[in-house]
Amino acid sequence: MKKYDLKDERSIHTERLVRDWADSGLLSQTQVDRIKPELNVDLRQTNLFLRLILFGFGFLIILAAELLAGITLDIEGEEALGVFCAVTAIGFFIVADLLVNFRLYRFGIEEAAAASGVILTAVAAAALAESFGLGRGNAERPLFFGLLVASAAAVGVYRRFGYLYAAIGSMVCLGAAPFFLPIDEVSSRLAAAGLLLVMFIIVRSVRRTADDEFPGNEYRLIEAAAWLGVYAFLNLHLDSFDAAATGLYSRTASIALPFYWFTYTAIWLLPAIGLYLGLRERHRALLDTNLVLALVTLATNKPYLGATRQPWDPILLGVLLIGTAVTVRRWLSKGENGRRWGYTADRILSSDKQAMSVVGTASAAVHMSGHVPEPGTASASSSHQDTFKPEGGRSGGAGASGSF
Amino acid sequence: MTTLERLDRWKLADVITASQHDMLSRLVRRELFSVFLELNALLYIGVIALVGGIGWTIQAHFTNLGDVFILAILSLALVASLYYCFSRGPAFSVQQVESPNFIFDYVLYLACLVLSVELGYIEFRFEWLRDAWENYLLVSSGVFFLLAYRFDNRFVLSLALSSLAGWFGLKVNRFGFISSESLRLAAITYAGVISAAGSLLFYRGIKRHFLETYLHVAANVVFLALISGISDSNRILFLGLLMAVAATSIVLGVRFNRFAFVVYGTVYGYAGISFEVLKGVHNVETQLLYVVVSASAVIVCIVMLARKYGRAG
Repeated sequence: MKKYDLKDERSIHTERLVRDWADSGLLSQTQVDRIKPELNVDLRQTNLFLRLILFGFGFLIILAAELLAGITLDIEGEEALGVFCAVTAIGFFIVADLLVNFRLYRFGIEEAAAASGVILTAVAAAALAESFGLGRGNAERPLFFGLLVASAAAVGVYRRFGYLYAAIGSMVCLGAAPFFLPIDEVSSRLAAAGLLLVMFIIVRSVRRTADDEFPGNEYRLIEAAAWLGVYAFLNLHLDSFDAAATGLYSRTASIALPFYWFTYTAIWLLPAIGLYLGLRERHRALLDTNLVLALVTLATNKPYLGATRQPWDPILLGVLLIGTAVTVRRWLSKGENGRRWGYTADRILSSDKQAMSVVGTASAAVHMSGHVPEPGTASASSSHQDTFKPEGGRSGGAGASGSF
Repeated sequence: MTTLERLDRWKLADVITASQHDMLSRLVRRELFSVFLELNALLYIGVIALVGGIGWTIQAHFTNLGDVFILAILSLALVASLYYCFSRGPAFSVQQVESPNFIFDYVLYLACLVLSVELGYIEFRFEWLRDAWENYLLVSSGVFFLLAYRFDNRFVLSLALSSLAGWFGLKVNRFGFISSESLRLAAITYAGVISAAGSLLFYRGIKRHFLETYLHVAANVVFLALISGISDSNRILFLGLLMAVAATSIVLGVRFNRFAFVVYGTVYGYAGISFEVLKGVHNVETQLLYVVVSASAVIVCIVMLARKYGRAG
């Protein structure tokens, strides 16, 4: 079923590790020169940036070509649209398959073809469901079928080509599908969370039978994504980050109290369980995901309890986070060789340093968008004397200028 | 063959030493597990949350807290943070310098953010500079640049660049709505100034690793400004400039293996040309045909590039 040899993919995975080890000074260049020939594979690869361009423009071409063909062929009506999309979807799956025959590996173009195939399959399923009258009485039901089919198609793409985002996209579609059934909010959320929990358990059991390396490392990411999905559908106050948000998460008023408090318990338990599992298994994806979830739980705790957020809440959160980081760091560094049970706070790989550099550079965008309360100056207007806003910004610079 | 099996083989073939085998095997089996990134993320978010909370609290309660209390607290935090940095910091070097300890970079970042809040509050309350209040941005930007170079801190450098952008009157989420010629000119000037400054420092051998930060910010600012200018009366001039900058970005990106700049040049350049071409085309089929043909041309060029450069960069 898979289009690539496990041997090749493992060689690529090992080659990445070798590069990182060499950059980190764990291997010398002479050693790398001796190792590299045996890791060479007969696959055409490119770097992440060119891959992104090829994917983006490939997708653009497919979208434009699909619309052009639809207009030229004068496709009208649900049935014609469904058949047209189904035929072209099959075409794009074949194109992706053929491109891989040219030994392309994560090259962008073949990925765009496969991804387009999934989307067109979903459109075809929704359109055909509509044409068969499945939308009668419930206009959203065709979307339910579309999402289910998209989920299945994305799993197929993952199985065939191994695109991790296809597996994650499949879970997103699966989780969203229940919201297009004529059932209430609570049932939709329970169904979505339940489906993703089942996915989590399945992937987890598959991963435990695989070894620690490829594809076990990818299963770990899928597992973490499923866990994240379970949490997202159970946290009823995710929209509290944006008071203006509406839609999926903003209907808590109509939710029964037992379910409300069940979800409140769940949003505390899920990060706790996830952190425990992540630490126990040294499962980085699960660990990082649950650190984020723990922060989200802290941030949504007050809305859950109906309490008003206080201006000093972020101060307490900041002190808690800084205190936690410093305490953990000190505790680890006091262990033998700065380690406890294999955990260390020291940087080992250069890829970690590169990640920090990227965050440092990217933080300029955060500052310039005015989300960080820094270089504040005030408006000269005395009429604004009662509206000090250090995060504001009449014109920018780290929220620096003047909406005071 | 798994990585662990390969490591065993390399050890047997004397490609790697026993100690290297031991270290690398532990990494692969995750018997040695670094939480460096996670702890740094907690510190970064913690500092931002802390300063955000301070700002919010001052905003909500400055009348109750009083100027003296607020300024005393902010000054104390600033002085303590800077004292920590100057007393613990390594000697200045033009080369890249590692942080002396885990929290050092974040203490400096905290100091800079607190300074910003304090300057903002001072002007808000006392209006020392009044209409020239933007000069606070220039001053804080200068201080941040000095601190960034003194302590080799990329977070503070980003802060300095964004403060300088603020002095020029720029804000990222405003670019989409740039309509003023002067604002556009300010953006282009800003990008030119920081590119020149970054390059000059690079060629002088001072913190050469900072150059990319300058160039990423400059590239995005100048591209956004030029694209916004295409809809204006001087559109031919802006389109010409956009093409020139896009070509430069692609050529230099390829030459120096910095493919993010190839992405900038390609995407912004394509967007600019397409906007101009499609403006006069009202037939949907022709528009779609244009996208198919032009995007295919881009793909062909990038495929040639990708085949040549493989996984470099």
